[in-house]
Amino acid sequence: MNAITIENAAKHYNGFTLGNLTLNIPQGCVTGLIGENGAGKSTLLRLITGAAFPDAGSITLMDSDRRPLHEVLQEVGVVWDEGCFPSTITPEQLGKMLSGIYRSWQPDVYEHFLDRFQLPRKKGFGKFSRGMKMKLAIAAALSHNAKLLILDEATSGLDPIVRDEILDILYDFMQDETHTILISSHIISDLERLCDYIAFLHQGQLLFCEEKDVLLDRYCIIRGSEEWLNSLGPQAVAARRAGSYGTEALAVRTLLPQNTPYERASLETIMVYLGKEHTK
Amino acid sequence: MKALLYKDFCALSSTFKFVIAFLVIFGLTFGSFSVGFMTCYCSILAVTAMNLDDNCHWDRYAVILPVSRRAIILEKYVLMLCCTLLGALLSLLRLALGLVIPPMYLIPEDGLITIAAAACVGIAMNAVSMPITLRFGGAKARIFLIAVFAAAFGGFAVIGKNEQLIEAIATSQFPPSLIHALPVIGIAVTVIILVLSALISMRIYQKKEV
Repeated sequence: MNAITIENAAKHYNGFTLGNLTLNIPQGCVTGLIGENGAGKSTLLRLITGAAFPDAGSITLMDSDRRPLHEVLQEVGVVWDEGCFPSTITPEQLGKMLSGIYRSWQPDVYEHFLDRFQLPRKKGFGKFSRGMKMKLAIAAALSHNAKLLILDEATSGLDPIVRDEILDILYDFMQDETHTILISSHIISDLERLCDYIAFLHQGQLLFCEEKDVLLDRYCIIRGSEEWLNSLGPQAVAARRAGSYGTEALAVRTLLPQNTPYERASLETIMVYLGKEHTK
Repeated sequence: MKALLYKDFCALSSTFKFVIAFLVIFGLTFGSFSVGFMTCYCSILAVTAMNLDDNCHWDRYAVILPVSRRAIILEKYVLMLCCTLLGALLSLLRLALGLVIPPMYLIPEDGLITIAAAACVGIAMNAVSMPITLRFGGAKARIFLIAVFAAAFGGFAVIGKNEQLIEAIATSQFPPSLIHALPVIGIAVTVIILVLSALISMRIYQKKEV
């Protein structure tokens, strides 16, 4: 069963088109959404959450084809890349407000996160640092028994300690097998730790959505001359670039001759190689 | 909707303190004008709330809450009516003070009519402003409203300089029934503008991408 189903969805803006995209976000898994700046990640998340509307195709969030979207959102927590709360509102007031909106609001969980994140209850949101703002948004998203969590660059601009703390919290969230996370981030190392699936958006197109471990196992980095790389064949060499000491290539490990020396490719490396290859 | 109202009152909290302090001083120092002004001024706090929402991109969060877009807009209209009521209550307090402090006395009947008229004007101003704010944002809505009021007051100024026109208006014989019906007509027109505004605002917000 899918938490999110996207079928041939498209969105057109002046100078940019997202789609047509077909993508399924499986329930019970963490899916990372990666892509360069302007690839369409935030646009896709806005389409999924109903903040924007597709020009074509359909997007189903949980069972939004059978229930009104605002009912489905009872079980969805969303964290945008910026805090969107009025500057005078305090965490205490935010909690009171959300308790009147979410049927499953858990005040004890919210209080627990405020303590864990050391957020002052009576301080206005406008006086928070960026890290504190994101922590408050995450606390709010995790305190109403959400089944699906959507995060859009929620950890960007945060220091490594805070990011590590947030990743731990997301791990805890996923202890429940019915929970799902869709997270977009430029911090690929975080996604490599956390995600089960990786979806790569490039210039508005979905290049792939695959299991992270399969991706990391499939690709590797090899080095050699242009002639040698050409001899391996186009199926084996997914992308290449000239380096200081010859040519480096992203290769499909299983298609390489036995005993070919290679290095493991990180997710970031895979993204850079494939992104540049598709830009050519 | 109660939760959204609570949020708007929290967001306006620092504004409220300033406004109430200003209006108390204003009401104590000015006469009959203060009664209408206080009502009208409070009623436009709803637009201030919308501008605060605009500044913090609250809509990005509001649309992912389990609240229909229709309810989000209706709450703003309820907020506007609550603020108008608050202004009217402050004005009534000012009137009541005039009954016990002779230097502050205002004719109660005139005061009540002024409050009602000011409430209608305030509601009508909001009703015009809110769909424009939703569609074009707070900054452009303010420019539009300034232009509208400049045109309206400019029109009144032109009429004021035309002696023949003023004489014609002053000597015209309006039927008493029409004069007595004016308050009802005024309230009816206000309600119609309000309902139309809410319908337009809901339509705008249903299609708004944030």
